[in-house]
Amino acid sequence: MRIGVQLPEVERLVSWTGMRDIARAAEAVGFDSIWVGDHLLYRDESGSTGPWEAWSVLAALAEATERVTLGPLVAATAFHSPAMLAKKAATVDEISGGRLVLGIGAGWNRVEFDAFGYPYDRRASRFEEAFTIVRTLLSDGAIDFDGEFFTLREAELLPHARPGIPLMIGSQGPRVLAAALPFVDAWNGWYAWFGNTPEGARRLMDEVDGIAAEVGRAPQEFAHTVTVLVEAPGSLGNVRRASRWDDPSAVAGDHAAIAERLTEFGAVGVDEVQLVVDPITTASVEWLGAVVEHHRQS
Amino acid sequence: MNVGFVGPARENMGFEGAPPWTMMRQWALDAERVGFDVYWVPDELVWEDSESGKADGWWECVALTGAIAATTERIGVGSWVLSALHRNPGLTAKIAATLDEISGGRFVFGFGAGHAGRQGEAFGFPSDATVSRYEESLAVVVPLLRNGSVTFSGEFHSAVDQPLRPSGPRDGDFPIMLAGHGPRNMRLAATFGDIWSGYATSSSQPEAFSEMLDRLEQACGEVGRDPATLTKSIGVFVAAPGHDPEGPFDDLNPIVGSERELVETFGQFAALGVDRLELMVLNDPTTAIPAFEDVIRQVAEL
Repeated sequence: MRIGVQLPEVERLVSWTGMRDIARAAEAVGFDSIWVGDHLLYRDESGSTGPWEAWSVLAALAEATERVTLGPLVAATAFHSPAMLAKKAATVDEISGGRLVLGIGAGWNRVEFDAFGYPYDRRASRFEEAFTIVRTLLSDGAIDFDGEFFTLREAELLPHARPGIPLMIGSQGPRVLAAALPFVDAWNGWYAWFGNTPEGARRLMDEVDGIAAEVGRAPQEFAHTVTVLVEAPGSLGNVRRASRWDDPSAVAGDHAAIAERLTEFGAVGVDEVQLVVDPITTASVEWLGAVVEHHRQS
Repeated sequence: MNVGFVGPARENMGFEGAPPWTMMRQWALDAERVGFDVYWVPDELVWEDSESGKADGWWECVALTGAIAATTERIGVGSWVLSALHRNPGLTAKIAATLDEISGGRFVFGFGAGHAGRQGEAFGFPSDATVSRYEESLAVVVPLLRNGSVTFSGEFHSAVDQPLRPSGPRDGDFPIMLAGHGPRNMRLAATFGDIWSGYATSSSQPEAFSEMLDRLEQACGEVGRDPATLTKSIGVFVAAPGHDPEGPFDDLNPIVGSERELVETFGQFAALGVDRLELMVLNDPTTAIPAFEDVIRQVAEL
């Protein structure tokens, strides 16, 4: 099982150099993948906050790291013209030397749609069209598309994307899953959707596999990935996290206990976990290096 | 006079295929070492030759700029120029703030109405009312950068109680460079810009720009802007000192000559009131960039 980590989003304001240092620390201690949320704005009773722009940061991380895979967790098709999203993916993949995983989804956070003037209605229908455009441009390099929301005339993605940039769908919505599962290399579930437990992950993956079967995709044909909320020493206690879902209990304990819990995720069929760490700092990523090491040896 | 370098990001410009990232990174580092003050990244999608129909594509501007900002240390990095057609205006402001953060306060925010036509149609962007769309984009972007928030309701764009968070090392107060040769674009640059950006069309010789600069002065007058406070940037096609131009734009009357002749020609731009030149170099950047070192040093004193 691969182990990745999500970089800070709005838990606190982290500078670019801070993001870079956490990413390099994660790479140094053996994480397999680094992930960046693709969001614009969060707002609650305590005020508004927002993250850095995902694709600028991903490109910079591609230059700042050497080995890990990189990706948005996950890119919202609602925020980007689909052909531009394909071009961004091809460019970051080139900068990274072929390390991009294109996480993709429909977007969900109403507040950022309204503030930025993006349509919130019919998100699944819009996703279906956008996903078709993105995946076709990445795989074929060209598309002519006449949809309800998007019209592209003899569009060409040049330079061509590297063949085989992995696509990962982040969704629990049946329509979005049905549209994406025939084509993706991986699926991703957010920990709050399944209670942050291996048993919950297995139940959700059964649902996903059921939808996959309906659209002709066998479970072994795509990777199953889930985020897992993990507590490291020095929890800040007042974390604002990128979620509309209430947080379940975090996986906590010493290195061995956390590693054992992650192994349980592997045992139920999870191929990769993306750790959402509280707190997400260079120190906690370095501390989790021993968990990654434990897991490798078990 | 400051001199910027327009980084090639297009296929089949001087060599076969697309420039690999490792090559573009080296160009940026070379440009920094040689003394160019800004490395510019174009925001184009795919250009089609009207005669042959052959299409040449471009790497994506924001991603390239982010990576160049991360790998360089001193040189300015700028968009030349972000198209208002390609991205949501609030997202554009967030991109600008993020690029300023990654660069540690070295970002120059070049912005313009963008090119409609074939590449816009291909990518599914609107081709009508491009200047009006750009004007509305500015009504979102400028308040976000300068005041930190915006509410705007237009025909093409809207924003509701939108903050710029985070806002980067200069809190959004980085140079805004606005492009365009038409009267409306010039008035918008005169109203909102720190820098106006023009570029060569049929000729890169200094005399080809005097009429354009007169019109810019007129636009400044119309909106009550003191033209002396608006930095004037001109993009020109140029061959490396002592080299013949190569590549697809060599028929656009580029600037060609020895080191001394280039310095003289650049001086004529300074005499016209041009503050900065952005070089679109018509030779292989790997050898051409270092060849400009002495020219840049001499021109700096103009």
